[in-house]
Amino acid sequence: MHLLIWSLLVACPKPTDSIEDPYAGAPPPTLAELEARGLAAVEDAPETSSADLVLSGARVMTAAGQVLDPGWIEIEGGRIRAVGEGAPPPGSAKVLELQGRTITPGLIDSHSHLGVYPKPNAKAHGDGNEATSPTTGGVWAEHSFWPQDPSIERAVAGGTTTIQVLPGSANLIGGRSVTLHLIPALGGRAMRFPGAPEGVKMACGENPKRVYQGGGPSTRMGNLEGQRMAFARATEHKRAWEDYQAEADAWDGSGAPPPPPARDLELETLVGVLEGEVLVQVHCYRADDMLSFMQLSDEYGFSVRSFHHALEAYKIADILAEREIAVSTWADWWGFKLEAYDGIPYNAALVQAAGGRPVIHSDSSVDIRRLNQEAAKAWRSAQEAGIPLNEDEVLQWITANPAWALGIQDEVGTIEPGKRADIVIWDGDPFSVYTSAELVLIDGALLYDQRQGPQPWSDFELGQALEIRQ
Amino acid sequence: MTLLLILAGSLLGCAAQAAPQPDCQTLRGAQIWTPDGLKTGDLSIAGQKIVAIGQEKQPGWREEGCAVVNMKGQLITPGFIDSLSQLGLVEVEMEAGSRTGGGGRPSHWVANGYNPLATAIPVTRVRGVTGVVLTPRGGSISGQAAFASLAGQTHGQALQPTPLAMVASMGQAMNTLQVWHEHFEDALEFEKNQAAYAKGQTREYSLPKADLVALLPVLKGELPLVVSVNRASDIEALLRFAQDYPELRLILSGAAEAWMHAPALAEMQIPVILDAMNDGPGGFDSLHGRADNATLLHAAGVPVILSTFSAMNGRELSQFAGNAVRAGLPYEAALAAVTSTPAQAFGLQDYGVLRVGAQASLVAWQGDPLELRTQVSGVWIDGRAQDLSTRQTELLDRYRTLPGRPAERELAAD
Repeated sequence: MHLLIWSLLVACPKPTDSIEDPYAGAPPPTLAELEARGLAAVEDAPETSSADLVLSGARVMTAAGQVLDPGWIEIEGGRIRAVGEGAPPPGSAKVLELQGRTITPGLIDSHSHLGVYPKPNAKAHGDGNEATSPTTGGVWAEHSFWPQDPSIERAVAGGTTTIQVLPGSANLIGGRSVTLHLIPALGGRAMRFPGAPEGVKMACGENPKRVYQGGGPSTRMGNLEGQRMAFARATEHKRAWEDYQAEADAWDGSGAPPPPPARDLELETLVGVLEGEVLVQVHCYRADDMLSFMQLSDEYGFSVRSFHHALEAYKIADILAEREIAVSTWADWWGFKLEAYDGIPYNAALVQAAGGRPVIHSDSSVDIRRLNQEAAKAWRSAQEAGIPLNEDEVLQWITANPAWALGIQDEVGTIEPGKRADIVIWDGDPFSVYTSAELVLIDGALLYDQRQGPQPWSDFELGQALEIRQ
Repeated sequence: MTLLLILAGSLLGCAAQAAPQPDCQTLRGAQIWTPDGLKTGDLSIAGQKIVAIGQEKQPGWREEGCAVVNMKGQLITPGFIDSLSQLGLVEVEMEAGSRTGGGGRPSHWVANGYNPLATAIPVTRVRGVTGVVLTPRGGSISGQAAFASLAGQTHGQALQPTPLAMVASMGQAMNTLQVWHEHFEDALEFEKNQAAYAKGQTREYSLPKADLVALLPVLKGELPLVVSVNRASDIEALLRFAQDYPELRLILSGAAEAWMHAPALAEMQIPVILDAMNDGPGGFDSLHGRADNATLLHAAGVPVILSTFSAMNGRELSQFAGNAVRAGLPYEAALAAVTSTPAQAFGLQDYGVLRVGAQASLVAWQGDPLELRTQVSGVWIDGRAQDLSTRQTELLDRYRTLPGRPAERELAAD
């Protein structure tokens, strides 16, 4: 293999455009236009260099219902152009022979706090909870994300290629999540997964009611009241903007244009929820808490994309399946607090058996390095419970299913033509404890090569080991 | 009825084991992980002890009347030992009212806090962990560790009667080592002047009498001192400090940067208890943590022990050991790191090894014990076969079929 000839990441800054007021003379703005202004990146996304090539000879687990042994994958322009079984068709692209390896889609973690609770543990970097008010829907995890977190490259070395970074769970409405493609950059904005929908983190249960002693909810009923009132305000806000939009549409250009309502970043997030554009990601453990939250979502007419942690999902697996709510959970965490007391290692398996969509998430800077192992343990528990699953279904827990939970299922999560070439080449069975990622590609570019050893991306790690190296 | 069964299960630990166990069992035809390598044959248990492995038999023991269990195709290992565990010292971690393991003084004896009915105990043993080193928490010197077998309803059944080690935490090395120096010197002086102390004719010591007394076995080398420490420079300072107390037997725990002092630790034969999952900077005291810490220490000759350092997640110990192998630790050393090495370090001579005369705490696996998908087919603790039910399997049984769910969606149980 001559992977070193692949160029690694090449950042290509473009010249700065001339500065002028881009909004001069524009008609009255819509809310969407105003929001889009905040989405303009200062820095360019890093351009990656992806060779056109064919991966051949490996066992290919597609996470789309098929295992091709051996299979081949043709990568062109950073995307998967074609996939097949046996030997690849003769062609011009370079062929990488990968006998003895197993290939899977890049792993996706639906629940991460990388960058917002980075390593090393430091008070100065603990930017995950805006714990100043129980409803902070206007804050964005992207703005807390520290792209120099040394855990990021270690997650990639474990095969993880896409993550959803969430605010913590101190708040009833914690703020916007952000879906990141793990290509190093100097700002969170440039790492945004292109085209991924917005998300919002909300929380049930013990955490929000514990944080605000005196100044916020102190009970579960207080939690629900806070969330219902927030959506009541969002409903009013939505109406104000709809009224304004009607006036703006009717404006004939004479006289003063109608003044837009005041911006409210928190309510804009919730209006996005009401309009189905912002995916709802809810930290919630107990079955009754999830039922209460679904009642709230019914009251305001939105849907939950995924419950997170959801240790009692198995008690209401049929309801969650019927509502198509993904269940992002762990293989075996339990008991660390009372709402996690009924956590069982059969949760993912029972959700799957009920026709639902389980996701094995990490919520950990350590376990994100071994999502494949976590899925393997949950699979073992399924076998123990007599619930038959095949390896492709289990692989979907850490690929296709989280892709769906983040709304990026058309772009990543399986090995199928047209998808981004986010690919992990493992040195063995990905569900074995002894297996490591050997090569990790994102958009067809090589982001990790086991044989090159540690090559810190993080500026933080530079110079820490000078004396050790000498 | 169900409730009664659950109640009985939690009280008795073995709901399904109503029939009395035969005093003698022969596990037939398994592969057996012995100190001399893998052997295929029979392993017999009488009372709490292993009385035969293959051709090797305890003098005078005869197999007649032993119940025979067919274990063909299974691999039997010593029961795993999770060193430095909070198991049984807390029922729900964030609920202060469920904690019983808070220490903070050398005289604190953690065994008094152990609850053998904690629901995490069966959850842990069904994944092959048969014993834990219970560790008090809090303070600079937290108290005395105990060994618990993960079976039994009472302290008498579960606990070793004597302490295994003194447990301490480095914190800020500069201050901590000075304080320990004062404590240790006071303890030694107290021992020489007990008569004067009783008459109130000594100077004031830095600790009450009970704590000074508790430190003496440590200073005489009768009890090891387990120190939680990560930073390489703190480890070095600790080793230097220890030179003043030649009898002191150190064991390091955490030890993320211990690989940097591997030769010194090997020379002094100081065992090191590691977290095999910690492979990068965790805090500022472990900026140089690395996945192959165990590998490097073992290669240098340091006795390596692996622990989950947890209350609820001890069942992950086999995964931890598997990851150490992935990072280069030889397989035999990884298995030893959760069986014989901790047993030796903590003076549990009859545990962690399968030999005639040893305690019959052992596990039958359907395959490689360190592999993630291997099921456990049987657990024996102090000679008794354990029921593999847990609170979690009871929840599974209750919710396998959901209320109101059509019968045809009921899942097939094995």
